[in-house]
Amino acid sequence: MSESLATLIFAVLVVAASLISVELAISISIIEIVAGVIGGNFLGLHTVPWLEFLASLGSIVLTFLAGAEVDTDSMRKKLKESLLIGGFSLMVPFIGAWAFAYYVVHWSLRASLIAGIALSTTSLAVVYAVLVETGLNTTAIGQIIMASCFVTDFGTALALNVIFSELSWKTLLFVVLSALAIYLAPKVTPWLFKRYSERVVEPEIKFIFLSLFFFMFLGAFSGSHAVLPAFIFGLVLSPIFNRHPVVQRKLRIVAFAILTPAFFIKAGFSVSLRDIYLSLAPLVGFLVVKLVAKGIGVYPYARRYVPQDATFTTLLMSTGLTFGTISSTYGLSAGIINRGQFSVLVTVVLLSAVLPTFVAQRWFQPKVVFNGGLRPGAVTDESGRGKGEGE
Amino acid sequence: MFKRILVGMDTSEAAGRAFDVALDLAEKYGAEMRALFAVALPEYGATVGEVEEVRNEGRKIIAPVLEQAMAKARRKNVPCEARVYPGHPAETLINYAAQEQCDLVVVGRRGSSPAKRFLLGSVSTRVTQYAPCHVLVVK
Repeated sequence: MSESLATLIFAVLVVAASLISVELAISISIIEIVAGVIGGNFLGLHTVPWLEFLASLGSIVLTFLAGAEVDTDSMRKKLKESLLIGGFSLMVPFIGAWAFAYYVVHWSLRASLIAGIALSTTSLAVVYAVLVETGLNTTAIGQIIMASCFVTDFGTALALNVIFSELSWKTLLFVVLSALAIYLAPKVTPWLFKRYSERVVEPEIKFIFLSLFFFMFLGAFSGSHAVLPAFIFGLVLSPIFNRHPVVQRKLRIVAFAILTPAFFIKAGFSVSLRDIYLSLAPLVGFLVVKLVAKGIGVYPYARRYVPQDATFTTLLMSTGLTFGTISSTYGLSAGIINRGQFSVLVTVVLLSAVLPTFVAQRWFQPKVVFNGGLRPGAVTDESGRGKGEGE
Repeated sequence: MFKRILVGMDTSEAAGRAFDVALDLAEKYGAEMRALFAVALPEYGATVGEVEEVRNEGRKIIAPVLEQAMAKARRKNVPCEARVYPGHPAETLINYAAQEQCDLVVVGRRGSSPAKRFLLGSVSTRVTQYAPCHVLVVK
């Protein structure tokens, strides 16, 4: 198939995925992965260099957005609880999935570590949607759950960088220059946003991309990965982003229009249905390990800090999607895992987005409270359903 | 007979007709009205931004429709409150009706395609099946 035809089919998939997503109210990312799986397995599509590049940029932009979406205030307020729940939510599944991959299905050490990282993640976006629907996002419980997700996300980014970086003077340079850029960002960005926002040439968006390209360059140069600096960069800019919703929206538009479709569709291309069929037992094993390990890691602390909704919290913390896909994609592109292993991991990640959410909503969802009733622990100084979102 | 009537709102003509019927009934029975729009958030989002944007877009899309509906209610002196909540439309209507003790839920029938009905189900059918009170489906 010629590159131009492959590009055309890719564009058709991107548009079709967005239409289906709107009609079915299902996340665009899931539809894009499925579109990629169909394209790769049935239409003979394969990845091309420009798609590789866009996908790689897409993963860094997603990581940046994840950092920029962190509510630093609620994290500070609930630091102890979120560190415990988020930390154990990361560590126990990491050890469980790593051990299962290494000792049971006999993957290499490095491939097992990728499995550990990919399956220890929690999807903040999946969790957030459920919390908003139940009105819990503005309550103390919701804030603990979200802050815990931030901790898990951060741990995932940290693990990817620490475990797979090659230690050399280049790594030191990577750390120093990234730290410098992250230190300077909150000082430069407010001025830049104030001076140049609301212009069609978008210098502020270009500055964000420049920074991300800088981290990507440093990552490639040092044999490391830009995930951690991109996440921290987003984190330090999150208060500034919150003050500039227009810039935030523009960046999201750029990301969702071309970059994240490239990332998720390319991930779908790399999933082999044949490999999934041949690895059904390990796939189920990984899924069970992830869910059980999340239960072991999260439930005891959820019982302590959110006793009335401990099972619900545990199930939500068991979900995974974006960071799991990013970790698996990193493993594949770095040659740490093969296509079969990637297919298994991404499928488990997708199933972990859907199954725990379904069970949580179907059987453990706290009662939705509309106007006229505050949930115990509701935060009263923020808008939200807890105090009547109705507008 | 009816003291509090809940009407499911969206941007469709069917919802507009449902509102008119509900308003007529509210006027006749001296009932108060609640016009509710549920913003269906994307399941399994990739980023919080995706969920937030859909939520904001939903609010923006429905705002003029609700404003128009409220103006109609004001003209007829029918007390009416407009509400926007995130969630699945049918589920939100059912839960709201139960919690706010509505006596009647009025919904429009949009006549979605069989494929969409198969995948998503029909809001009016679900509300008819599970609402805790009377349901009126307006065609």
